[in-house]
Amino acid sequence: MPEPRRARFRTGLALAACLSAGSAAAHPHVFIDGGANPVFDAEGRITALHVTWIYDPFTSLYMAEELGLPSDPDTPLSAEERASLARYQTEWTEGFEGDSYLTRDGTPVALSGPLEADAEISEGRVVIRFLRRVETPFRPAPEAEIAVYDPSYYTAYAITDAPEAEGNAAGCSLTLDPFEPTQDLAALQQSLFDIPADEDPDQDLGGLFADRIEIRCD
Amino acid sequence: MRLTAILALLVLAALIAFVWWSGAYQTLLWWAARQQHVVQTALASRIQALRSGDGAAFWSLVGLCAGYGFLHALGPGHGKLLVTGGSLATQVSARRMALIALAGSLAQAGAAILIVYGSLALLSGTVKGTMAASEGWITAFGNAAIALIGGWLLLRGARGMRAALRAGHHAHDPGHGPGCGCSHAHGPDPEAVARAAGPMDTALLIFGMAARPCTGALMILVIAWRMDLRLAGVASVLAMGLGTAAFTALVAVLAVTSRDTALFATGGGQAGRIAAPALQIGAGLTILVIGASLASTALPG
Repeated sequence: MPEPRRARFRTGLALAACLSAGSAAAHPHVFIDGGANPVFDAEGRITALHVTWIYDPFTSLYMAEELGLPSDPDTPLSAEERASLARYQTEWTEGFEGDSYLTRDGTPVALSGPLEADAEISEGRVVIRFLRRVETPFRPAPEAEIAVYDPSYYTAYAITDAPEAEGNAAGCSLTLDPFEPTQDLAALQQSLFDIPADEDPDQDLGGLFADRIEIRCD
Repeated sequence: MRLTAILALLVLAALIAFVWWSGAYQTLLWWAARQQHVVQTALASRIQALRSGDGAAFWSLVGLCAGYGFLHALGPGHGKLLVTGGSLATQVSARRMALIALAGSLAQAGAAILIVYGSLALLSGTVKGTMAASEGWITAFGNAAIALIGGWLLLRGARGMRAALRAGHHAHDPGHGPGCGCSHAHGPDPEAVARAAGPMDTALLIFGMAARPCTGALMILVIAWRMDLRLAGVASVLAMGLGTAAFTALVAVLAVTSRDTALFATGGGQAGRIAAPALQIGAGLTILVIGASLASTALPG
């Protein structure tokens, strides 16, 4: 019976592929709230993203203990401690894309690494703010999109700050499009079907669940 | 009866396919992640309470950790992979496999305790170094161990297959007339011996589960150590292990039931003879491929 056996073998390989991707991902350990706001220049072009990460209290506690910072909520950090926390946060390993993605009419836009970082611990949560510059400033007409996610879903992001444009954003509107399991289920199903057979089905699990900000300018 | 078994397998396969392709599984993961966010927030508040001298926070911390372990186990992981593979590839009973899942989860907790407390206390290591080691070479070692377990099952499956094919050849011997009852076992055939789950398999499976520590457990141990809440750290991580074991044991029971149904459905003929080693080969190969791919991606560089 060669037919069923080959089928079983193929099923085994498919299972292996999805499990191997899944065992690396699908397991968020870190939760980050916050947002990513577009920064406009005087001509109304996007020049940067202003990113805010607010870590969950458990991860914050861990980071504070690792860095030897005061982790009880009532002790404020010194300027030196804030600087060391900001440094720790912005030492990105090679290949890390920064988990914030800007697209212009669906095409990815290159962003710089973290700049002008500032960190604090507020109400037991580590908060870090930094800028990511856009290489070539552009007018988001008709549209641009900011998505915040970790493709491997090790970190689960949520945009909890209402999106707000900084600078001259006259004629532009920002809309938050959070992931909603019921509403986005059809898209989720479609993307599951669209995954080519030779690719890990879970490789972009974080992207499936991403909160997004739509920017539209006249 | 056999038809019922085949139907049951088809229904199970259809159900799994539906849960995957409908997006229900992904939605469940998303939901579990949201719950975990809530649990992590509560964990931090219980740890802070415990540090400021609220003794009652100890028990709510332990309870939360059990919930954390269970929620975490909803996602795919190496423990469920080993338990499923072990269930399919051996003749272990559901009860025994559930116990192996429990032992493996507790051993994983024990390994995390040993790694963090051992490194921080005995080797006076730094937190950064401990975490780097456990996510670096310790995990790489665990991945290699998982791949080896897969290879071991695959090897035995291949042996069993050879024995089964030989036995099948023997069944066509003209000396055996129809209805001679060749389908039942004539004593301990080599294939059955190869599939028995001895102490070696049990130990390997438990070791494989223990060999990859869970990040959440490491984090809570580091926090507990630094805050001088060491006993609470141990209790928390053991509770996490129990929570993980609860879900992994469910997976074990499902896997053993599927295996028994599959072997029953293929019956006692040649198909039935090769079904068992084929399952073993499939399970071994799957574990080998996943272990190897994890090992290759986890390599530094």
